[in-house]
Amino acid sequence: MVEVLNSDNFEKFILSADKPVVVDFWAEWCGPCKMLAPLFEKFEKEWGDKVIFAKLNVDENQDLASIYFVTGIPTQIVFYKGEEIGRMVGYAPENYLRPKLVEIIKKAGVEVQ
Amino acid sequence: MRDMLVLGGGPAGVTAAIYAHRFGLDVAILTLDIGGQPNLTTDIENYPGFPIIKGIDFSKKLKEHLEYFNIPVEYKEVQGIEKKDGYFVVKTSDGDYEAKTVIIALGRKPKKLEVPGESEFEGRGVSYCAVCDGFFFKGKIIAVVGGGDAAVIDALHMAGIAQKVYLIHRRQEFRAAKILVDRLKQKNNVELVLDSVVKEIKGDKLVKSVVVENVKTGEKREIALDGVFIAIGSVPNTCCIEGFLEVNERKEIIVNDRQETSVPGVYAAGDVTNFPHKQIVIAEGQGAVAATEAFIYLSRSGSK
Repeated sequence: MVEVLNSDNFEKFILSADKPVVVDFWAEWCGPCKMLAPLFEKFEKEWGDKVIFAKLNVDENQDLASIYFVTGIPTQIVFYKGEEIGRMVGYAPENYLRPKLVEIIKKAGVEVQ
Repeated sequence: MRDMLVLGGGPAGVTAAIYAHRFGLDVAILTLDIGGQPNLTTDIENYPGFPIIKGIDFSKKLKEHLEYFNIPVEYKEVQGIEKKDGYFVVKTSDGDYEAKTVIIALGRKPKKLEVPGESEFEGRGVSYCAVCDGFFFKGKIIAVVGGGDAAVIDALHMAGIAQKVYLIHRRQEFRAAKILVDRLKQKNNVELVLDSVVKEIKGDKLVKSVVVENVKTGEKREIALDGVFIAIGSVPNTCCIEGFLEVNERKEIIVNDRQETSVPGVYAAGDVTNFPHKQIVIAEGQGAVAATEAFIYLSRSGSK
């Protein structure tokens, strides 16, 4: 399941999660965000027991986008224990995104493939 | 096995699929999105029948048209094509698909500047999509880099959002349509930085400035700003099919006026081809030709 985050629940969710959290910063008008969505869901299906996947609509939550220095979408930020451990920006093919995300998630001591 | 697989869901691919469907062919689209490059633009004003339509709305119309005919769309990443005896196998990140004919309409993606700071600040002030990211720069100072239609459209879009827009272009003359350049010259918050190239993008957590060099005088200037939108053209999405068929020196698929590639049974249409003009209506025309030729090919080979 992909969690839906907003300004009210974001901080609490990120801090209380016991697994790494991948947050997809997106907006309705963003074509590349739509290209990324099926891949995001695929990763969630594969890794959902070890990693939490969440989405944040930047249009409705501009404050959070600016706090995390997001000025371009899609951006995925990986958090662990409330801290950012890495991010990926823009659409890229799976054979580029997958190993990058695996590498970032590894920083939280979690192995995925 | 299907009669046809269309690779790509932009104007060329969608048109090819619609035509193929109406010829009675069993067709599916393999793509990452529906719409393609129109998704990256704001207003389209040269599509006959629609005096003005937003890129994203145009894409929605394409999607509706596919749904109207129940044409299947698989959201898969194409990774290669193989020729078998009388059919083709298209490899994706999630398995293989087989078809008697293939239409390649994979389109193009934005070209990079290849200067220091560009990749470091992507998503932290550097963007390739003004319609996606313009919103983050309300009341800020930004630059658009480029001199074609896409750059001028981006600059016009950003002039309505940002406090100030620099348009940095390596020549004096614009390739963009005159009507767009004239509109740009009327904007009082747009400053043209001509005969100039970006040498470096600087910042800390976010972009803070760009260094530009005048190509005629060699003079360098640092412009303080918050964002840089890069619109210097595009490269074809042919990375995974090179070697399978003939491409030119720009990696564009070589086609004849029937959209045939160097491999019989495989056609290409739209911006991925070597046809010099990249426009939605041209891509659609090529998509229609490709589907028609594929139908004739199938009829001749006795498959249809």
